[in-house]
Amino acid sequence: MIQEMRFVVAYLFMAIGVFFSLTSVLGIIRFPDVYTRIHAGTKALTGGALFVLAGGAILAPSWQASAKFVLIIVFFLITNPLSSHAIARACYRHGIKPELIYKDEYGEKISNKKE
Amino acid sequence: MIYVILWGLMLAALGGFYRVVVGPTVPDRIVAADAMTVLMTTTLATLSIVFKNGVFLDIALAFAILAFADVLIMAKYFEHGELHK
Amino acid sequence: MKPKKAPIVLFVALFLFWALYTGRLDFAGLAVGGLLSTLITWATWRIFSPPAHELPRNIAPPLHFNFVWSLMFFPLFFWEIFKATTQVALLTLRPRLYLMPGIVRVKTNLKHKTSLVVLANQITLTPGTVTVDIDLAHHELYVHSLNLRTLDECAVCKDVNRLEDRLRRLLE
Repeated sequence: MIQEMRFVVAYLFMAIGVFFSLTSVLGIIRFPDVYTRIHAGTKALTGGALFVLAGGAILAPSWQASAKFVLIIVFFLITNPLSSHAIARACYRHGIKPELIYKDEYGEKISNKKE
Repeated sequence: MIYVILWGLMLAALGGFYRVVVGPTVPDRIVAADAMTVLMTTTLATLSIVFKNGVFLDIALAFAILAFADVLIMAKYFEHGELHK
Repeated sequence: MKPKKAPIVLFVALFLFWALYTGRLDFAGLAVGGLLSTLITWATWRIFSPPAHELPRNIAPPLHFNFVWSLMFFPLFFWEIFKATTQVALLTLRPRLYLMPGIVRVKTNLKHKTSLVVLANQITLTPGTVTVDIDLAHHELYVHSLNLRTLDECAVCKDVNRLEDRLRRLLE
């Protein structure tokens, strides 16, 4: 009984994770410019990977494998936002302007520095 | 059931590959490639359950670390590489 | 972290990592792990301790980890990630995109470098915002938001300040 409950919960988590991954990739394809694509590529993908890996940690045969799954989750939580900061900053410093923007206080700061 | 999940992850990676090929600017491609590496890591971790082999988890973690370093280096190069024209 | 503590923490972390990854708890495995951890610590601990000329700025407020509040903090953190993920999923599944992106400057009161970086990480994982840059000298963050909601007042700042209060209770 407990075994079946474990399987159901794990597969539920994995299905949610796959759904989130698919929507985030759809976001990467559909969104208009780089900065909004970073939103889709960071948040939804981290969430999706987190759900799939949590399902894997529940399904894993030994406690050691579960610990490794948790280690990968923690690693994703730390590094995924970091790489997205790096891309966003490099993008802006390189001079790629957002196509769709309503307010830009970062551009003002950079142009003040250059003058 | 677990094969459905693997196919879903692969389909998502294919979507990322579309953006890598089409993407109008370089950072677009970097973002999509980053997304693909995350999906690959998740797939590797899932494969460890399919094959009941713990080695896949070690490979997944090493792959995640390498992919993270890759993205940082690409972003760094993209930011500073063209400054020395 | 005090500079003297850094190598010890590094050694313990490396050793635990080795023990988890090899899974061998007998004497030979642990001995090899200890030897390798000592070597790596000896070679690289300088990277992890702050350089001497930066010390005076770092002294100001020491960080202490509030354990009781962390029991409340991490569930809230995962809830925020779940909200962010569902929000992006709903946005992409709509036939028309309702976006109003913009980059906003947010002022924070956090004094310590570490807490600023953790705050930036957390902003990226919460709904609708991605940190673009940190201004360490002025304690300011530049945040790209998917949906500004209003142009006059800063709706994003309120979200960030909420997160900041939580983080200050955890770390400072």
